[in-house]
Amino acid sequence: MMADNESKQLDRSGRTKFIMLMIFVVGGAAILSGGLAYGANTAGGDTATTGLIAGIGAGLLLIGAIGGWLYRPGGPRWIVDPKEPGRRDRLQAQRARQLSILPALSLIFMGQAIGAIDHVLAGDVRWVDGIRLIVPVLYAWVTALIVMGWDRGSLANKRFLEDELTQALRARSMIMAFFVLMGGATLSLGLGLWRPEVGIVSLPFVLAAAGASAGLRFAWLFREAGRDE
Amino acid sequence: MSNPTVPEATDEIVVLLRAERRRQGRERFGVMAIVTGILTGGVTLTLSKVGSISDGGASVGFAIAAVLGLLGAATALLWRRGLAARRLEGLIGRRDRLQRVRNDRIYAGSITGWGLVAVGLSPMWRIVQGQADGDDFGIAAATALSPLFVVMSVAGWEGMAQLNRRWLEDEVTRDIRRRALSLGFIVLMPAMTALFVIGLWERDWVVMGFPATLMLAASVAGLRFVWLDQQAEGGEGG
Repeated sequence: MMADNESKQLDRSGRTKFIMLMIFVVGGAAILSGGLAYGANTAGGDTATTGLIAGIGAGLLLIGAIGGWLYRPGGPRWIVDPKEPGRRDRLQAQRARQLSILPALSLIFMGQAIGAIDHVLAGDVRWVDGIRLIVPVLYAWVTALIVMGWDRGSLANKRFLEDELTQALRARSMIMAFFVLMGGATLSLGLGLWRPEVGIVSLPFVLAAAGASAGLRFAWLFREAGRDE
Repeated sequence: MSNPTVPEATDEIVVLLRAERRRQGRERFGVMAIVTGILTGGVTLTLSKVGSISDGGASVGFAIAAVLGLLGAATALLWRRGLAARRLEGLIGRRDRLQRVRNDRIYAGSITGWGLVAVGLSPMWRIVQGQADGDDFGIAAATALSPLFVVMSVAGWEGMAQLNRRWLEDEVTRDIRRRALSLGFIVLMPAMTALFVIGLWERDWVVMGFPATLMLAASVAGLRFVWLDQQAEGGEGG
């Protein structure tokens, strides 16, 4: 009786998540098409705003689609029991999946930031350009924080997520990210000596690459360790 | 660690290790003072070229640089490697000796790299201004690459570490290396982000700040490595 109640409740929480993610998909599609329509209507107009709106829409759409697929009805994650013994494995697999998805999101936002780069190179930086360039960097930061175990989710589930394997994988992926960041920044320095604005504009790419390499390396090592079932 | 058959040798090693650590501390203080002097001199030189400070300010800066350099040189000379160091290296094994040499290199790289950063500032300014010659590019390249050398020796990728991999690679080293390089990343990522945000407005100055930022991360990793290795050595009863 008790167990029945519990599983019903959990069933409902899975459904709530699925519905929320579907709202993300619909909302994201609406924002994306709205942004594109705005861009099409204002001929030769504000490409920065169009790109920003469309980029946010595309991001939401992607988050919703991936999450919705993971929480698809009848899927393995629909029934969630907090006391089940496989919780550690599931949380760790979830983290690895997040870490392999976040770099892709960072890449999408990088794509919408390319328009802003022109403005920076031309020398008129507006606040929209700053935001568009900083968003991919934020994603890199989120990736790095998850790898370090310093984000809110990791701190809340610390006893499930922190173990010997995690620490070993973390150290290896951090070292790789450090070398990517170091090498990339040296390259930016070289570009910056040639033309200062090029050096600065290349920095978001370097930071995003460092965050992405930390995340992807962690996910890859996790997979190699055979823990992603 | 102690070998009961030769207690005298072990005792001597302990005494010599303590003396060496004291001496090294003073020598390193001296080297640091020299590099601080060079750093002050380089920054003063750059600022006076750019015209941000008056002649009086520049001469005060150069005076401070000279005093620091002389004091540091005297300290480093007074407590340079002596007989005790050679005696100690004859007593300890090859592994310990090589690890000591490696730590000295990493420490020296972490500190003297800052001197190179200071020397590189005014050539870099000339490059940014578009009035540089061949020497300037050489110095700027050396400045840009020096942090990478420090980080490579922490990671064990340079020549000495490759040749003596058998003695230099052990569990403790690997653990220390991971902690040191992770800290380097934690320092470099915020520093680079800050540099980028500032760079959206102040372009020329941010390019000048690049080598210092890279060196900051490299020297944090290097000094952390040396520090952790000394802690581990102390913990083993040395």
